[in-house]
Amino acid sequence: MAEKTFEQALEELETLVKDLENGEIELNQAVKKYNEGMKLSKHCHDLLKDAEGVIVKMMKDDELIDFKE
Amino acid sequence: MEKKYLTVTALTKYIKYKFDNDTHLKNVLLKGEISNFKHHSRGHYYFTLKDDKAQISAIMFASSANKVIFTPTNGMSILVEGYISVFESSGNYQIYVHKMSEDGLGNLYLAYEQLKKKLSSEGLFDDTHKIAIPKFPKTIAVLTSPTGAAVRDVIHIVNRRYPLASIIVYPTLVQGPNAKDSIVKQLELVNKQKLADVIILGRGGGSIEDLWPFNEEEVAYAIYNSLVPIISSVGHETDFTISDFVADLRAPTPSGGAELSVPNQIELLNYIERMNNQNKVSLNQLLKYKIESLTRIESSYVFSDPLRVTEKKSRRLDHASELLELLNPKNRLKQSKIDLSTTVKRLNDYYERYLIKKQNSYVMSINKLELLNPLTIMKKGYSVLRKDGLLIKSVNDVKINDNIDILVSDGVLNANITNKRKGEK
Repeated sequence: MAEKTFEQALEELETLVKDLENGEIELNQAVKKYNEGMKLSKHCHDLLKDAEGVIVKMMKDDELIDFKE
Repeated sequence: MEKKYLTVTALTKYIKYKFDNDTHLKNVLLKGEISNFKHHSRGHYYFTLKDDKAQISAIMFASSANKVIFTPTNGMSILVEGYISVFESSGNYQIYVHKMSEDGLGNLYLAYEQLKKKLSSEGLFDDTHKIAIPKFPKTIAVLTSPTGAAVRDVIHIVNRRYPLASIIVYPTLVQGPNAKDSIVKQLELVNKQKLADVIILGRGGGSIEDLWPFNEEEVAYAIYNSLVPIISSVGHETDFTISDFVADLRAPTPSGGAELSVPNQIELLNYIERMNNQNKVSLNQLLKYKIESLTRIESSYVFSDPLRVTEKKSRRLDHASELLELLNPKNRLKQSKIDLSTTVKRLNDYYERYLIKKQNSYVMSINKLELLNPLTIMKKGYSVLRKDGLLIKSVNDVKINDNIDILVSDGVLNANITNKRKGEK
């Protein structure tokens, strides 16, 4: 499975918060979702922590070249 | 003959002498449009006076500037009186102004107001045409000069706030006569290539002329037609251009545009933290609720005193048996043979009603029993005794040497009655 993007992970986390807030959930399901939530938030953390910085390119003559300041 | 070389100072002094002794330049009446206006902290005005073909630097010292009754602004047409001289250290000639008055609105300003009115009436500024800026852009197209401070600021800020994004710089002329075509071309290119999900279009501060490309009608339409949302980030906080009004979002400066284009990772991490806490709270509440329900069920008499359940059932069964005995047609016939047919009919009715009632109560019992789940009770160590498939409820139900079945939670035991004592525990 391809790694989730930050946005996907955050969206899933938001849905999960709503599911858990709704008290009608089975306990084992809730624990499962809680653990899933921890995994998602760690994934988001890691993505930001491991980001090596913005990739900057320049469009020249319809081609992407490295951008030098 | 040896050539004689002048120093720059000597030449400049000579030129200055020429300027200062020319009677035509001693008292000049001049009209033009203000640009590059600066109000120096010591009160002097520095600016450029221009028309469509030429420009001249101008200075007005504080002693004269203090007497000016209006606030000069860029684009304003003014009338001035002064003299022309040379400022030696920069080698510039300039007009030293001692009187200044207004000459109506400047042409550029007028053009700006007219275009703004026209485009506004055409609906180009309407909010209904604005496209939302994506919350988590993957690629940001930056349309500005690749060499200015603006592009560096944008890269720096995006990097700091949201290092997961990437940037494509589309080198764009942002001042001068070719700027508007360049802006239009690059906007169309971004829309054609579809590599970016948001555009930052802008440049750093400058005079009203410098920013003018962003007041051009063609640029306004190109912004309006873009399907990729655009953040207009032109000049300084106080500069407003037509682009700002047409764009999907206006930022005060290029740096501001960068900030509006991406989320802030610190805020994102805080947000994630808050969600995690919320999950903890939710899970704890759920656990608490489940434990409370469990305690309530366990304290119910079904578990604390299971015999009460069977007692209640057997009492109902006894009652039913009595009723059955009472309604037994044979007994009824023994009692009276008068009006046999009526009696039979009544009995049949009774019987029918009884059957329905019994059926109902049976279904109800099944349901209740299911709810009570006798297996759960048996798991706690209680067992059920049966003889020939009938429940043993009393010592009288069995005889010595009878074989009986003992039902426990996971199976059946066979036993033999060797002794029985009534009323003993």
